[in-house]
Parts: sequence; structure tokens; C-alpha cells
Amino acid sequence: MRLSCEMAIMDMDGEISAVAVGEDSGKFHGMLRLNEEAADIINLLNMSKGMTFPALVKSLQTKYTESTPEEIAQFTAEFLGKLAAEGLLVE
Amino acid sequence: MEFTVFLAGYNILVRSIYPDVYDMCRDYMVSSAPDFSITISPSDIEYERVVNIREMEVEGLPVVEYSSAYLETLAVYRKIVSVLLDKGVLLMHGAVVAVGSSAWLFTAPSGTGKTTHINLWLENIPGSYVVNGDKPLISVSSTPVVYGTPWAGKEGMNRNVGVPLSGIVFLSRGLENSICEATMSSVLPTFIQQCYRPRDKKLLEKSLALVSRLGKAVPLYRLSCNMDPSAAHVAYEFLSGDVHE
Repeated sequence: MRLSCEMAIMDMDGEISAVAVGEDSGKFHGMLRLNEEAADIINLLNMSKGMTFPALVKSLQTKYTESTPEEIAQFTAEFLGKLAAEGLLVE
Repeated sequence: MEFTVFLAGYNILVRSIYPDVYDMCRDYMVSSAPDFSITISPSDIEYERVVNIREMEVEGLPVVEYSSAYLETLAVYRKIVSVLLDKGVLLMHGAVVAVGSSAWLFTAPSGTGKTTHINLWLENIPGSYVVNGDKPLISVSSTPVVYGTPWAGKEGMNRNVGVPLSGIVFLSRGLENSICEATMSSVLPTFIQQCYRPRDKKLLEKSLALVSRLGKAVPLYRLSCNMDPSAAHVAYEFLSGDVHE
């Protein structure tokens, strides 16, 4: 899977937002509010041309060592679901 | 054509094709050595034409075929603003009105009534003047300064000055006039939509970093207002009472 548009991340004192880049700047009203884990998912998808769900979870596990793989997988699935509902995810 | 303009504290050498941009920049010309230069090519003008058509289509407006000379004025500003991002200078969409040495930027989507509101200031607040009516430059530091530029919207309201920015006001239409302080979080979507968003990701990240710094450096307000002269009084009395020397 990959993002349907490129996004830039803005972090203001821990309040994180994603902003669509270039031609897509009008998408999702210009910005999407994120938590840290969601921002990491966006960054990972931004950096790759395509990433599987297991690969995404595995990458996140290296950072979120205090979370169980199940917790990371659950959060990742929920956030990907939100992205898909917004039309921001391409399978 | 080749000339140097002084914008937001920098001398910028402009190499343009058509005379329109030269005429437009007359009040900002200097003979000083440039800090940097920009050069316009026909492809820059074609880019503006494509962007303009796309934006009209997205907004559902009839496509207007602008002259190459006019499109060049947009290309010049785009290039200047892109370089200035590296120097901590941000372009925002909004109207800036000042009284003495305090300026406030009123921002909102097009058509909300920014120009109408600042005209109320000009008519009702003694000593008020417009720094820039549409596309001011802001030097973002611990004490941000907002600058007039020749790029100032349909009305062309601008003055070649730099004034300390005392606040950013997010304006909306209302039946009554009211103003209050706002949190960055509550105005962030509009803030981002009204700042210059380059199509290049690295430049966009620089622009967003400046938005973040600016939001911490100046107070933010929400103004709901109508077209009555009292709208200017309500805003000015609140804002001027909140200026910290």
C-alpha cells in the first residue's frame, strides 16, 4: 500500500499535522491532525513506494518497544482504515 | 529588464521579460547591491498559466486567460518568496492594517470580507493605514515584522514600510461584532491554508516551520464581524489594549 498523495509533517510543540504537498494541497481540507504514531506511519509511507502491513508494523516495533506487536498492529490497522476512508491510501 | 527591489529587508535583483512588473515595483526600487537575484524565463510564465487554469477549475470558476505580462508578475513573486523562505520570511494571504508602530494581519479565505473590514479601519480609526492589502511578507523572529510589497491584490493597497506585527486576526462574518484570543490549535487549518504553500515538499516544510514559529511569536485572535463601523472600533479597542510594549 502507499499514500495517494505526498504529505509534509508539521510538528508544533507536539501537535502534529500532515499537509498535502503540491497538486494535492486542497485534499483533506489542507491538513490532517495526527498523533506521534500516526505521523510515523505517514513518514514510513511517504518514504516508500509501497509497503505491506506487516512491514509497516515491523518498522514501528523498532521505535515503540514498550508496546506489544498486537497493540501496534491494532493501532496501525485503525489508522490505515481512517486513511483509506479519506481516500488517502492506495492498495 | 533588470532592476533591484527592497523587500522584507533584502535587496533583490529581478530580471524580467515584460515591463509590467518593473512598473509595479517602482515604489520599492533601490540602487543598492543585491543580496540575491531571480530570473524569469518563458517557462516560469507558462507554469503560472497552468496553475491559474487549474485553480480556476478547482474552484469552479470560469477560466480567465491572463496576459503573459500579468502572469510574469506572479512568477516573480513566487520566485522571490521561495528564496525568502530560507531567510525566515513567510508570505501570508491577508490584509495588514497598522496604527503607529503596531500592525495586525487579518486573514480569512477570499471573499470573507478582509478588505471591507480594513476599509472600516481606514474610515473610523484615526491614524490607521494599510501596509499590504493581500499578500504581505512577514519576517519571522521573536519580534516579527510585516512588510508592504507591490503584490497587494486588486485594490493594490500597500505602503513600502516594515511594521512590528502585533497579532494575527482570523476573521469571519457575523451578525454581531466580537473578538477574542485564539489558540494555535483552533486556527491551525485556516493558518495553513492562508500561508504560502509551495508545491515542492522541502519548501513546504520550510513554510510550515515558519508558520509554527510565527504562531508562537505573536498573539492570535478570532474576530466575528459585520460591516458596521463599530466592527473596526470593537477590533481596534481590543487589539490595541492587548499590545505589549
